[in-house]
Amino acid sequence: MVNWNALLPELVLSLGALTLFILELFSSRRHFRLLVLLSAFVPLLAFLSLLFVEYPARTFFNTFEVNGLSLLAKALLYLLTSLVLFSLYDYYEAKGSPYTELSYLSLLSTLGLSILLSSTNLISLFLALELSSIGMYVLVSVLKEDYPSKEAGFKYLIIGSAGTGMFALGSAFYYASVGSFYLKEYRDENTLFSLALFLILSALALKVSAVPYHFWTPDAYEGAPTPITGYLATAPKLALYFLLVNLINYFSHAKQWFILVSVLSILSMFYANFTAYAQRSVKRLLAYSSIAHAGYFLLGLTVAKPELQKALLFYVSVYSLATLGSFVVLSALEKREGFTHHILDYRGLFKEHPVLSVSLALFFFALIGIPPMALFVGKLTLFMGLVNATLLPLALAFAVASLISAGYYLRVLVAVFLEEGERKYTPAKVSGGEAFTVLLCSLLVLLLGLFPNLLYDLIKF
Amino acid sequence: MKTIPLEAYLIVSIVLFGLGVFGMIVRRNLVTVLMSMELALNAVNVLFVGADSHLSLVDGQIFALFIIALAAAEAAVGLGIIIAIFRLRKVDSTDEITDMRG
Repeated sequence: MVNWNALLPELVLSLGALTLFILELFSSRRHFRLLVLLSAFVPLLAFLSLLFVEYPARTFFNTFEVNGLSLLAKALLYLLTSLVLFSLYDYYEAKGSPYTELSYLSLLSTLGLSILLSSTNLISLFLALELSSIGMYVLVSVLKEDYPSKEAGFKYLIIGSAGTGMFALGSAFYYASVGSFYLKEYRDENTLFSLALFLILSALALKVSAVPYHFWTPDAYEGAPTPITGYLATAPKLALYFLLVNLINYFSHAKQWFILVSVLSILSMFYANFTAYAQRSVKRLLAYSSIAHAGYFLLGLTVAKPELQKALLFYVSVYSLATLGSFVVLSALEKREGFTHHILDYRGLFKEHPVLSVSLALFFFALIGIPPMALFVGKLTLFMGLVNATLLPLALAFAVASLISAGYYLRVLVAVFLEEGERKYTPAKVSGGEAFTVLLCSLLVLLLGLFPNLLYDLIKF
Repeated sequence: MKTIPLEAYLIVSIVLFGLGVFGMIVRRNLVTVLMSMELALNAVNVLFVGADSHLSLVDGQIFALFIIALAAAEAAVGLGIIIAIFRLRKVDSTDEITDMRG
């Protein structure tokens, strides 16, 4: 017997995607804005439908599980998707590529991530991961007459499918040693199981772009259309960390888990924070910032302690709001003729666009971790969690890496506020959707910084 | 009748997977890179079927069917991107799609 109630948000999403697919057949490029705005309401409907889901529940032969944590993750995921869809139409119109397919592709990706959050079985996990990834490969590559997006899409596809292969091989090893695809605690540590753990963790590290599996990240982020970069940098990351927190209960007793995760996280933090200083493109710089953040987040997965995982989930949620906000500001700026994301193009931005500059500064200060912003609370609780778990060296590495990272954000802000620009651009018009997204992201980042308990108390295990 | 031990399947599939990944790294033609990716994914199918006969279950074969379908979907998207690259630049080698670096 299928429990349809547990599947309600996924049903809303998939029916919404199908409806848009049919509408798209009968509409032309002129209806681009209408279709995209319609699609932005589908995740909101799914968000509302979350209120009617009874939990905890299981369905589909126990492969699909709903609990309080996965519902919270879905709520945040739908919110992010909806914000991305609200903010992207003007960018695509300015670039002369009003592809109506965008409306349902991003919904399908979100559907995949949403199933991912509820999977308790490696088969459904694999399918959900691929549903989201294949949608994203296409989303990255669709921009008319634009070569970098194609190159980014191809690189992302090839490295992403190497990740798929690793995940599949890991599942095969898991199956051969455990004898089932269901995730469960497995105490017998033979070589096959160790290999399975290593491969599955590597594949997930590839999807969250941790060093040494980060190769695709800077290229995919730089080449992709900027609103889609905002999607790539937030929604999958959020879903994958909720998934990893789920996995830690099954796997963290294995002795190689701690070593693997801490090596990944230390490498990501330091490698990305140093390489970011060498970047000239602000979009690429944000890609390295996202790799560095992958390192910080992995610190919260080193040992299974609820305090640590709560801090991680709070941090990743507010981080995605700040990152989405900064990418939306970047996409609003990119609509100006001849604007690249080179740091020299950002000189004197404050004089031309004071509001956009101030919101960019707010998001960058949040990413550094300056106190009134919510990311400071995330950093602090994660740091305290590490100290309380007596992982002092990791806590120290975290503090040092955060300190190093401040410099490259500040360099961009110096260019924006203090330097004089040489070129004059036509002023960018900020669309209603972009203004809404930036406003909501900055408000939430500030609000959750002042009252972190609003979100923090919702994260329950 | 003597059955093939699980180790044999493991070795075959790991070797094939390694060849696939190796091909993805050293091959220069964009379409050949996609083919190497397919080889790596199919290597996993061998292991699934081997593990199935070892455990006398069918779950692995279900996974293998999903992998076949997904590999086809990925190849379709990949070929689409290759055609788009070729239309814009007339190149078909990984050496020539290196605009973004660093």
